[in-house]
Parts: sequence; C-alpha cells; structure tokens
Amino acid sequence: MTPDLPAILSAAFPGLASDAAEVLRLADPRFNCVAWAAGLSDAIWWPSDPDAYWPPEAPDELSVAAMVAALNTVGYTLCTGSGLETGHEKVAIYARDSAPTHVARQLRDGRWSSKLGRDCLVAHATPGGVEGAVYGSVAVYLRRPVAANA
Amino acid sequence: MSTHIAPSPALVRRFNALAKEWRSATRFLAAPSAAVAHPAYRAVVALGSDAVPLILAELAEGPEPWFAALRELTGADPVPPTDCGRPSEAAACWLAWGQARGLA
Repeated sequence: MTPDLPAILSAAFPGLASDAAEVLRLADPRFNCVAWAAGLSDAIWWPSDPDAYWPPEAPDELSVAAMVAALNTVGYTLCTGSGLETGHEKVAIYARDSAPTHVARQLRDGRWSSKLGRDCLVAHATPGGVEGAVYGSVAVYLRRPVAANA
Repeated sequence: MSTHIAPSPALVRRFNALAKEWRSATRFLAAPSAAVAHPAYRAVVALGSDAVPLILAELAEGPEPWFAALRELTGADPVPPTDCGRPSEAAACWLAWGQARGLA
C-alpha cells in the first residue's frame, strides 16, 4: 500500500494501490508511454496521428502488431512473461478490445514503469498494476538486450 | 500584423471550463488523436477563432496537444515535419507564429 498515491490515480487504476506504486515523475505532456518504452522523454510516439512520431518502418495503424513493429525498431523482440531477465529489459503492450492503449517498461530492479498519458510516470510492482478499465490488459511482452553497465 | 481584440470574460470562463474538463478526462490517454476527439476539446474548437489567443496562452504554460485545434481554427501549420511528435518544439513553433500576429 502506498499512502501517498494521488487519489485520482487510485481511482483510475485501482490495481496500483496494492502494487506498491510510486510516482517517479510528475505530470509531463512532453512524452508518452511508447516514447518512454523506446527510451525517450521528449517525444510522443503513436500511429496514425498528425501530432505524433511513428517509425516509418512500422505499419501506420492502431494495432498491437504495429506497436510491436515500432518497438522492433529500437531493439525489442517478442518474448514470454514479465519476469526480470539478467541482461535484458522488457516492455509490455496493453490492449483493450484488440487496440493498443499503453506500453509499460521494466525497470532494472524488476519493477515496471508506466507513463500514464500526459500525466505522471509511476513505478508499479507488476504489469497488472495498471491493468483495468483504462488500459485493458497486457497483450504481449517484448525484450531487448541491455549493456551490463547501462 | 493582425489586430487582436481581447477575448470577452464570458469566452475566457467558457474556455477555462472546457479546458479543465478536457485535461481531466483525457489525462491518461497516450494518443493525442484520442484526446482531441473528446467532446470538450471539440467544444473549444467550436468557440471559433476568438479562442486562439487563449489556446496559445495554454501552450505557453505547457505543450499539451492543442495543435490540432490551432490548425483547425487558423488554417496554418507552422510545425515542420521534423518536429512532429516533439511537443516542446511544436509549441514553440506555434507560440512564435502567434507572437508574429499579436496573438500570443
């Protein structure tokens, strides 16, 4: 239980309260979850959107496959499971009604980080922390190698 | 430079109420296109070009996705393709555009 979690977060994401959630950064409209997954904090990545960047190598459509293709461009490949793997970092793509809604990125300590839209960046113990009505559930996991001293 | 008339107090109140509603309702959405489809955002656009200075003032506070509304209301798009998806740079382009016209 995290007593300092803002009420609006607990209301939108009921799973956070029991997932040891912690606000890492305050609200910031300069980046979204997909950019954060790609390692950026000054960009918006989203398909078929005139105010967002989307890698030209990925299909410009709102689908989980397109999201996977976009993250392929920064080194992620499909994997199974959310467990921490030495030498890798993981991301989880969430979907609701088959449409992608969110991407969370695993931290080096095994927790997960979610940039919640234009709002804050939170850490949560498991990918399930932000599952629910807003983002749906995890559709796929991807991983990429990280340098030992990164 | 165009002549700029200050928005009426009623327009300012209406805009502020809509902007607050929009920010609250869309704060957790990752997609700018989803945020701009919200009814409160569409209501801001429906306020017409008198709302442009108010939108630019919002952008000066932070690079929220007001770019679609500005394109619709002004017919302009001062953001180069290289800054697409970079909210801080896009906001700076729009603020420079507004300052050149006495709107920001």
